[in-house]
Amino acid sequence: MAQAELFADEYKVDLEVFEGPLDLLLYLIRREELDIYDIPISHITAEYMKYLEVMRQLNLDIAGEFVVMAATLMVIKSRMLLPVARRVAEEGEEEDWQDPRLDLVRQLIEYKKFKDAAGKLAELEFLAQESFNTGAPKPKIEKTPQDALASLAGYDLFDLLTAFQEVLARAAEGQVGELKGARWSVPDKMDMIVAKTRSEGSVAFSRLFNATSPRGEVIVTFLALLELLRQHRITVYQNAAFHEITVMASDEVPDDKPLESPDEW
Amino acid sequence: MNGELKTPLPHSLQEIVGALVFASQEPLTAADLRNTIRETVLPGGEDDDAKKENEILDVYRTCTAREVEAALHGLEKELERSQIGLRLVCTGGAYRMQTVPACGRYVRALLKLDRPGRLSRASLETLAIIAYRQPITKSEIEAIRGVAVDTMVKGLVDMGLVRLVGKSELPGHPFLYGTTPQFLEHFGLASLGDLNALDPTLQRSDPKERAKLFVKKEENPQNENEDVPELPGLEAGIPDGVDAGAPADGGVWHAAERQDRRD
Repeated sequence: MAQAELFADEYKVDLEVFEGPLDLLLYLIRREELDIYDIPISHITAEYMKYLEVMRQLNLDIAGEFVVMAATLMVIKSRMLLPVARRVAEEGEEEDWQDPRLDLVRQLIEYKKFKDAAGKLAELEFLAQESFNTGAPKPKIEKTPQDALASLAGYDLFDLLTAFQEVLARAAEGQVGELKGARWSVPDKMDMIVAKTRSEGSVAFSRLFNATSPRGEVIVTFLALLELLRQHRITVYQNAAFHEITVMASDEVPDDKPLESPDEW
Repeated sequence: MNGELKTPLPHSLQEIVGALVFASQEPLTAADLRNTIRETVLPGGEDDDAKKENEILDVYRTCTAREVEAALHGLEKELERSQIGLRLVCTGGAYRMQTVPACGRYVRALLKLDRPGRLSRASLETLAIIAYRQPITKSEIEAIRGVAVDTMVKGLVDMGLVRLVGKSELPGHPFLYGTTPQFLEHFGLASLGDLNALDPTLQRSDPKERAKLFVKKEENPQNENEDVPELPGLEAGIPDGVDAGAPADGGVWHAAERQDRRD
């Protein structure tokens, strides 16, 4: 593996095909059990920025839309801070005053409808794939590479990021200097994860990381996990929303198929 | 001595319809079935037995599409009731027989097939937006999803689930996207109308009304029926044969007309 010396900072994950800022907001609203019609904007802005920071640390290729949304949240937040009297004075009649969150809420609700519909379509697809035609076989839908890349179907990327955030917070600080010396590589970590899931069947997400691991190692391990998911070598699941994530060897790919080198990513 | 060898007579129209759907390599519409039954050459013959036989077969020969549909409906119920592992499904007005989903794992084991990959959530979301709001431009999809959708849409077109259905006359002439017959097939939907039943809070917008949004209103006020944007032709990348009057066409524009034609 000549290309094996891959580091987090050489590693770009294209987020466009995963999720967008609206997904992140809906995820946060769900996790924090917030009322979508009365979003505490300053709280959600703070949470949103935390995720942006994690993505930045992972060197995820943060889409411009995430940044635009951050700016939108800031604008709404600042407008919420203006006292109502001044808002009225500035913006005319009181009846004209609009909740600055209104447009965002509308957009979130509209988007959520389609997100729910997508869930229904997933169920239909699953069922349709369970029946076989008599006569001619079904026309096969050839998945595009982009879609294979995005096929983290069935769970939230943000759940993974949450779990990662927690591990990262526990990770030993102040070893940034050593990062360059200790050369963790994504392929090595991929081998480690595959070996662990095969020998133990399923592994709790947090057990993939050593409590004493420096941040650099934690980040590389997480990137290896994402890469394995992309290659369908492992699957992850949660027993219930926001519970601990379990990592399992996938049965979709035969065990003897060699791991792809992640360098094409 | 051939004349003395006789095939048994079918018991019912339902039996004929069942045999045709089972034997067919392609999904069949009620009209396909009726035409086949009508065009089937009867044995002929002058003796009394032959006349009697032809009398019976003539009843089937003159069946209407409505009777065929009733027979299909009866067949569907019968398959469901008898639990023989098959079901009748209708996609875009065309019928076929399929094994039941409950037995999928066994059929897959027999045929040595892996479970096919499923679409990503991002793909499904984009697809849902296109399905409910077609014809739709990319920028409208982006407005709903809040992210760029170029890669997603291109992927869906490559997979044959989405196609270009026209060109908007709005500034920049953006392409309009809609779903393909394969979309219905892939999700086991009988028609786009089935989408409305999925989620009561989300209803499909009327494609004809939406199409009007993309046409310059002032130019042809008298041509109200020609509000269908012109198909962009070759570069559109529309899969061959999709539009060739296919009965399974889940196309956008002519859905209503096709319903009329079927009777």
